Amino acid sequence: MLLYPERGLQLNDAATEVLQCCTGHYTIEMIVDALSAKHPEFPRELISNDAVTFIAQLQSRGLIEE
Amino acid sequence: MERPFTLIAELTYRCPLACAYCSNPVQYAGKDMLSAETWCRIVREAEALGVIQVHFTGGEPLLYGDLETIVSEAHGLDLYTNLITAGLPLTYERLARLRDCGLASVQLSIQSAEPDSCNWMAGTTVYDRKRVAANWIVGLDLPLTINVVLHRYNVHETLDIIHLAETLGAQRLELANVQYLGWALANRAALLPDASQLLEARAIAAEAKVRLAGTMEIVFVTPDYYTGVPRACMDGWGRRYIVVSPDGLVLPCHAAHTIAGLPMVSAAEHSLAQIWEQSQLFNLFRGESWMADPCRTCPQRAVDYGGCRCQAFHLTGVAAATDPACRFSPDYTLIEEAQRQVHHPHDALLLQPRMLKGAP
Repeated sequence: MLLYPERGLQLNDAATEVLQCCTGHYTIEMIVDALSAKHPEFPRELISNDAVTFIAQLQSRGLIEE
Repeated sequence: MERPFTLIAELTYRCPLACAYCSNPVQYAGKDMLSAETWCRIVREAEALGVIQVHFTGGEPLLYGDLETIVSEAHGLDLYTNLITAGLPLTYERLARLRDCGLASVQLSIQSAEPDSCNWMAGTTVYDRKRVAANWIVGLDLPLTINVVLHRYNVHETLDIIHLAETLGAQRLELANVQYLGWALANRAALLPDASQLLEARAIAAEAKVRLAGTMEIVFVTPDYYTGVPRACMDGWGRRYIVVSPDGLVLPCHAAHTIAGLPMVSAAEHSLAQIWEQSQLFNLFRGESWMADPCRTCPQRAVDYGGCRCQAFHLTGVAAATDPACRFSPDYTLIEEAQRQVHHPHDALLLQPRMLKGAP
């Protein structure tokens, strides 16, 4: 669960893994690389699409900054 | 059994402000009886029940002396803590101390973007102090929510309010139209804006929402008096929220103790788990079995949970009635009557400022 003022987002496992990579040290490309290596059972393109979409959603809510 | 997400800790009803739209009970003896030790126990019991967020509110929670101890306790349990405050009385040192105790975010109220009008509604000189408080909050890296309650006297300022919140560095702006309970219900005839004012404000907020996406979240709460649809009050009775009043009553909403005849329960006598799961009070309007027509068979009942029980009681005298704000309610005429009154403001324009009788 990601908590922020007056709200909370219940994250699924995939979202949790992406968010845990968002430390400010890695580019989206690097995050996708790391998750692809960790989950060879999923195509890289799928992981990339999901990660990019999720990060954009967090950005639009002001929950992460570039 | 549903699990609560949020504890609303009303530490005291005392407040240095006298806003005529205050939702605190109109009748209150003014006794604050809970020790910090008791509040810490309540926070622990809430966490054990599944609560993840605690809002410290009131009245003015900064008037509670040992707030720091309770914030520390909540933070130690990994709860997300939010201070809902008018911003005074406050010093930079105290705010820094609260942050060091683990305070996670602050919601600051502002009455108006215009200093004189802000001070007039608050009943005391607050505008400059609020701006200073906002600077401290942002300076201490605490996420700032600005809350402005909208009514007839400030709804036209919506754009100025948005600009003010941007200037202050808010991450979130709540434009919350008055909910007509407590002092606000007593002052309804004077406070309720007309529909065109509201539509304009809502359009301005919607435009700003797009412009500020990712920078400042804007939440515009349309008053249920104009939507024809009841609000999902507290996300349903006994479903997500636990409110504890200054004297230790454990309530499904802020105003449940103003509904005459409900069986009250105190945190001093029972654990929060007992109250949440077994008390008559929390089970009274939980789920759907209590609903009468038209709610009973309405497809919206899973969305709005029948609306607000306190509003139903205070407007119709029957707590289990369909919220009169619903256009399908047999009592919807009460809302239409209030809307009509807006166009005859000479009837009642006198604002009764909130008072606290018998407060120390």
